[in-house]
Amino acid sequence: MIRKTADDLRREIEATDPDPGLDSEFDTAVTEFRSAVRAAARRPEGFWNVQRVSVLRKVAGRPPRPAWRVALVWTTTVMFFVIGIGIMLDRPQAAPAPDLAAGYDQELLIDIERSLDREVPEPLDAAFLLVAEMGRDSSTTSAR
Amino acid sequence: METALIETATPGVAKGRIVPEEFETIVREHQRRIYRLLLALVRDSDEADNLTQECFLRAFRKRASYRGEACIATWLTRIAINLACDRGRNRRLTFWKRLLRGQDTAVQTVADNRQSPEESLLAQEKTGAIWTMVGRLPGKQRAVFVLRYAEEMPLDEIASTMDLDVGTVKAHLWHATRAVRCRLRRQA
Repeated sequence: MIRKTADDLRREIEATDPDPGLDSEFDTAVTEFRSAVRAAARRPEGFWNVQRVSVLRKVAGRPPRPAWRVALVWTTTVMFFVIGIGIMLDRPQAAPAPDLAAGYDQELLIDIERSLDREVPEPLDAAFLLVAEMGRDSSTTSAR
Repeated sequence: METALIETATPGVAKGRIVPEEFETIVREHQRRIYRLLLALVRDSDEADNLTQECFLRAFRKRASYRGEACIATWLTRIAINLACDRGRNRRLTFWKRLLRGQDTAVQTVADNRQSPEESLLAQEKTGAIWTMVGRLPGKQRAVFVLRYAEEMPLDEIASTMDLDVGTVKAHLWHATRAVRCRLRRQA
């Protein structure tokens, strides 16, 4: 079987008349299509005027702002900037914040010192008292 | 020589260049044809209007690239076709617009010279079918089909407008015609 090359195919397509014996149905459909497009594209004169004005407005771009408006915008911006700087410079210096970490360390050292001075740790205080009480009771009984 | 001929035939063009001050003349001269072409390609009147405006805007912005080798109508048609092909990105939006608005009314304006309402309805259905089919064709095939059958443009002019060989145009047209015929046969 001989395969057609791309060139053969192209030549074949080119040789083909694109409108070979258009059957009447297709012909009618195409004519209807053309009429439909033309009818749908029919617009009142006002539509074309609006479209043209819109295009020309876009083409022209936005009109330049008047000079006085530009000057006003710049003056206002500069004024706000100067006022802002003035307010920032006028603000009183804040007092240095206390060193919280140092105070916490101090408290911890005191706690450690207290714990070392104790005979028993703080949570065992109650048990220590009970044992002492029991010891005192037993010594009294044996003395009797 | 050719440029001079184009100039005499085209208002708004001088020495092969677009005269910005006379751009309005160009818009006035071509807006109807460009709108009709875009409407045939996109089948949405609002979008065709937007694309027509965009076409002229783009033409104005790129006026420096117009050297006067081609007729300004050809140049504008090329821009319009490119815009219609690029529009594929916004198809989802068009789908929702159509869904909300219902069937496009463009087809309903045709065939008002029918003898009976049945005939008119049939014609509308057929035209709607062919337009839907055209809308489903790939970009270049659609453009070739519309230029050939809706605008009745000769093949060599289509080729120069779309910057293609006449052979390629024939191939596109052959594929498009076959697709539309198949659809019509299936519908029948």
